[in-house]
Amino acid sequence: MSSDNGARRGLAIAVCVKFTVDLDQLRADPATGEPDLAHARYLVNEFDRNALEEALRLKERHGGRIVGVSLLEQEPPRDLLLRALAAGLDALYLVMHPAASSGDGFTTASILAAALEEIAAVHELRRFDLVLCGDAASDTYDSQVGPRLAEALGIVPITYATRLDVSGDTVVARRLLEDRVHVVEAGLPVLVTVGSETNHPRLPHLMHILEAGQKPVTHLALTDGRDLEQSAPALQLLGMTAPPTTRKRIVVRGDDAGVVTRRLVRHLQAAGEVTL
Amino acid sequence: MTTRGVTPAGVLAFSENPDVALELLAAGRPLADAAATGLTALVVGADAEARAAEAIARGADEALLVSLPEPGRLDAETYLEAVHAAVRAQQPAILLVGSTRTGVEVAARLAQRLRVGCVTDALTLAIAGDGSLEATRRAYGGRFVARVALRSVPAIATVPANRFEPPARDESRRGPVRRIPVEAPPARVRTQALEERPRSGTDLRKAQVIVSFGRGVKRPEDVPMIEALCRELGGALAGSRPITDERGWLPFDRKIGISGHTVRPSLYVACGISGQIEHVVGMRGARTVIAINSNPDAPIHAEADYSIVGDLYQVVPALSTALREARTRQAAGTLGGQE
Repeated sequence: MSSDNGARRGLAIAVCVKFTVDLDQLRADPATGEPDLAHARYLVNEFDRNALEEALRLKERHGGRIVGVSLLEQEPPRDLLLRALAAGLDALYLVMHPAASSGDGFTTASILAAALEEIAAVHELRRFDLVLCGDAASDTYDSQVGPRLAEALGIVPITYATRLDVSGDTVVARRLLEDRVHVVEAGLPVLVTVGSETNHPRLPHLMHILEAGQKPVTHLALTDGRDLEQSAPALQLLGMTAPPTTRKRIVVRGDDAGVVTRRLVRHLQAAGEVTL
Repeated sequence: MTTRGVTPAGVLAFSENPDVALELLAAGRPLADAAATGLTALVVGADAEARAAEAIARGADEALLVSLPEPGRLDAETYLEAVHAAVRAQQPAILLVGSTRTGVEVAARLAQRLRVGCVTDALTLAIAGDGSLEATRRAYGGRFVARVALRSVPAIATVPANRFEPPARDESRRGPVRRIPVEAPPARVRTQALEERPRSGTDLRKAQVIVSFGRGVKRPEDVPMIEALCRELGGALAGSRPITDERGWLPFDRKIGISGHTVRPSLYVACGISGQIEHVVGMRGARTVIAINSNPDAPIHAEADYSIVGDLYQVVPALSTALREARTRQAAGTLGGQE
């Protein structure tokens, strides 16, 4: 823990958790052409599962406490909350805000920053040593909230970390850029974003799932979010459409792989799409 | 030719990647023309003078050069200070940034500092009737396109690599090159090492046929099965992000997706790839797509011309065989028989 937080009692870690639509199940609403979110199934965002796993690994090595924070428009199903808690959280804070699904990164990051400051105060911390986020949310793939949140908290972000080691007040991270590996060092506190390259989230044991039911879930009412309520979002979603596909979407069927693939080859030859 | 007058409102374009920096000029030129303002290229780092001249020849009205206090320090922190200084000096209405990992971080952090909106990975950009910047971007695994308006100034948008063709060079173009000072604060993140990742040297963007695989391939010993299909089709081997970045079974330059290549082959075969937006963005331009995936709900099927819902461990070897048989029949001058 950084000296800011007094005596060393392990790491104070916050993980931002987004509940995202299960893309495999998502359908377009036939009437509007927009995604049918009302009937969608929700999951813990894939890269946030990596963030939860990384937090748990750090806690196992250094001790400490992991709290989750999630910004939502409405109460999520209980089993979803349990899944996040079973992945290693000691406590989960929910912030209900009508702008949660606005898609405006400024609003999201500002609310999360205000929430993290309040949660830190509740836990008698000056600030969290580490804030972990996923590289991106699988639904919007904006990749903005992590770096924005770091700015809002006044701490430095380390994005696209694939390996994270904490020693004393220092963190060393291996970052994956397009064509390079960047090894960096920074003093705590930092915000780190992680992805599927970082770790393989473990499956929770039955015991963890049972324990999750005992862990505190707190609704957080923000006291200093007033200026956000009043300011118009900087980014406004005008609409969403499923673009007409130009793909043929032919499902080639058959009793076994031999039959199916011979049919596929005939399709390709007939359409002149493969030169043998 | 004459250079139009540069007004305080304008379009500022920055990418630390020299190729993407030129592509941004193609994205920014129509916006500057529509708003009757100028297009400014921001150049930071090595060869800045040469890159500034290149930017002007390719459509920028002027270039801003940033001299860094520590010329060797090229990280997101430094670029952020450079872009922030340029925005203060130029007061642009629109800031375009290349959608590299570094670029997106810089754009998002600057947007938070300035309390403005930012759209990442914009597909199209246009100035709306009320003067706001309208953009489209993919959402929900690429199956939907979101239309957004940015009402704050500056409006910040990141533009993916390979989305726009760099404008042609015009040696007769002239424009001012201004130098602005930047005082970068002491580094909070120190670079210990910056290593090149191993590469295959294959340019996937030139491949006519690409056979690509993802998480559905379970073990590295199974990759030769995909390679065999690739040889039958005379294609180039590629992978999704988990294969190159998570498992390291292929070098990074064989990655298709947002963080890898955007390709336009005539035939693309996706084996065991679910079809997340990260991947789909990279292969959408293929003429014909074949998807092999055991999950009938996998989004990749919606992106395919031909889908086989089945176990790739059976389908891939069978497809190699079917192709070989078809070739043999063709060589023998016979028509394919009915099964």
